[in-house]
Amino acid sequence: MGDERLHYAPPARPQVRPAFFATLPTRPTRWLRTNLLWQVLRFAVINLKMIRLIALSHHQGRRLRS
Amino acid sequence: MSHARVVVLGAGVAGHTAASFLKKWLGSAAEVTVVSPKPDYNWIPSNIWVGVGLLEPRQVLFPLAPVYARHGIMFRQARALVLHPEGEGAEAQPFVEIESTVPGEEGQRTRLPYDYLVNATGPRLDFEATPGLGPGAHSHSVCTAPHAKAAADTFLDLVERMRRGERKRFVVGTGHGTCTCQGAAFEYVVNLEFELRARGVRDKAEVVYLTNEYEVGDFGMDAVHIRRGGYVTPSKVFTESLFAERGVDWITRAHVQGVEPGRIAFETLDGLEHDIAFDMAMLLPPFKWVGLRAVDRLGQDMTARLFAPSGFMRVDADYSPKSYEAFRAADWPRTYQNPDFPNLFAAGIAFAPPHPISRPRQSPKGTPIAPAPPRTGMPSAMIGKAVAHSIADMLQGSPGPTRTASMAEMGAACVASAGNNPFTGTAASMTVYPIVPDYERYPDYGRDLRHTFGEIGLAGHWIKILLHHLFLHKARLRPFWSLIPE
Repeated sequence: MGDERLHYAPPARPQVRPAFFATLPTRPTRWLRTNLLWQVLRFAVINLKMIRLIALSHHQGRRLRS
Repeated sequence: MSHARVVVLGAGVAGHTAASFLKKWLGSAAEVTVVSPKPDYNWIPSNIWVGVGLLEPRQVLFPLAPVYARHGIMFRQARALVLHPEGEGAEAQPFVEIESTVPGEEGQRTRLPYDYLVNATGPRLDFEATPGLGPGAHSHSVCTAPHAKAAADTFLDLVERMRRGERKRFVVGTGHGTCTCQGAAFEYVVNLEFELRARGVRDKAEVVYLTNEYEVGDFGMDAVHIRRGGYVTPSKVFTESLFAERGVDWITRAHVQGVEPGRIAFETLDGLEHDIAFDMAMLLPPFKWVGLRAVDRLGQDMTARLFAPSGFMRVDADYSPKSYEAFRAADWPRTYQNPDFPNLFAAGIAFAPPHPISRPRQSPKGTPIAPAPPRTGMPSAMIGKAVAHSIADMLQGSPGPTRTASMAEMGAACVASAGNNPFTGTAASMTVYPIVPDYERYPDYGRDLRHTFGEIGLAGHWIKILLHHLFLHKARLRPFWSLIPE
């Protein structure tokens, strides 16, 4: 590989890292992500949303002729 | 109904689903034969955990032959070479030529006649597209269980070295400008980062995500928009947030030109050429057709008639060339029946998509740098089931396919692991509806935002674990397997 290539190096300052411009979760948001009670509730909610989507997709895959 | 012969090429998600339902619905009225070059079924979504040393290959693999024997499905361990959809000479019986891959019988060729054929061969992993790419060369993959095991061996060795004070750089992503399956690379990079933390060496590691996506979170689906926190937010924001939180840097719009020991050369969409040093690289390969050919009854090659230039099989899609602005949801196939041969179907990755989902882009040098369309587990299984239903109905007298499974009319539920621990692990749970954006029905974002959502948390990890066991149970065709949705 020739020397004319741009060599990747980790940015020296945080301000030039791509992550500097990213949205970061606050501490309460992070805490909720692994809070057992909240996650049990989310487990039920996410499953319901997924079941609804699966039902919708199966319904869309409909019969063309009988 | 006479005793029909249905041949299914491939035993991945699409082929295995199609074969299982065909046998369930047709019973002794049909002989269902599965042809697969490998003896095992691989639950691929869990390979990422094999790749960081948390699972052994045997936990994501099981032998197909005993499962099929129990359910009356014939199994041939072989690769399909040539389709003869018109038969040969005066004999009009279609057949497929297969070549054994059984140890000790390699190369033995057989003709397998069929009344209906489902092409679900999946892709060939095209490591050759990029010099130096792949487990046989200088980078790793998690596309198969043995590949993932090799990745884990390198990863665990580097962890030991980091414990002795060495610093290491991990590069994870796509190994070519036209790769798909960015979701697998995403899962692997966040799991790798999680394991580095769990093993107490995160401060010794630099983790970089290198991708052909225009923005992270594109996933080959032209990104996904989610209504959350009072805003409609693109998946780029959530993906960048996940990476930033974990200290993962990212490089987008990259086409890997070559991999040398410890160094990756890549071009970016702006035409600049770069390189990056690494201690371990896991780069996914692009997908290619498996090399299946077709000949007519006179022995003349007719591969171009049955297969698109990409090598994947033509089905009932609109393949007329068009610009990104002219892409329509209606271009996508619904029945997966070949337009020339009504007894030929393609399912899963084996069907030729009409065009990409993400906007096609190329660098000033003409290098295409844009994801190919993904065809993940859920759509592949739904397509396999719809094809099986159509074939079963056609064998019972229906004049044509009876079921549809358009990717522009179905959603996908994805759970991307971001760390495997029952109390501290997380996963991103996502639903997308429809998979292929439909800007005629949903002009703003191409998708129904009521059914498109995403969130990260421990609950997602529990769901991922649940899905691992449920889908392995289903694939093993154990009691009540058919009640588990695709």
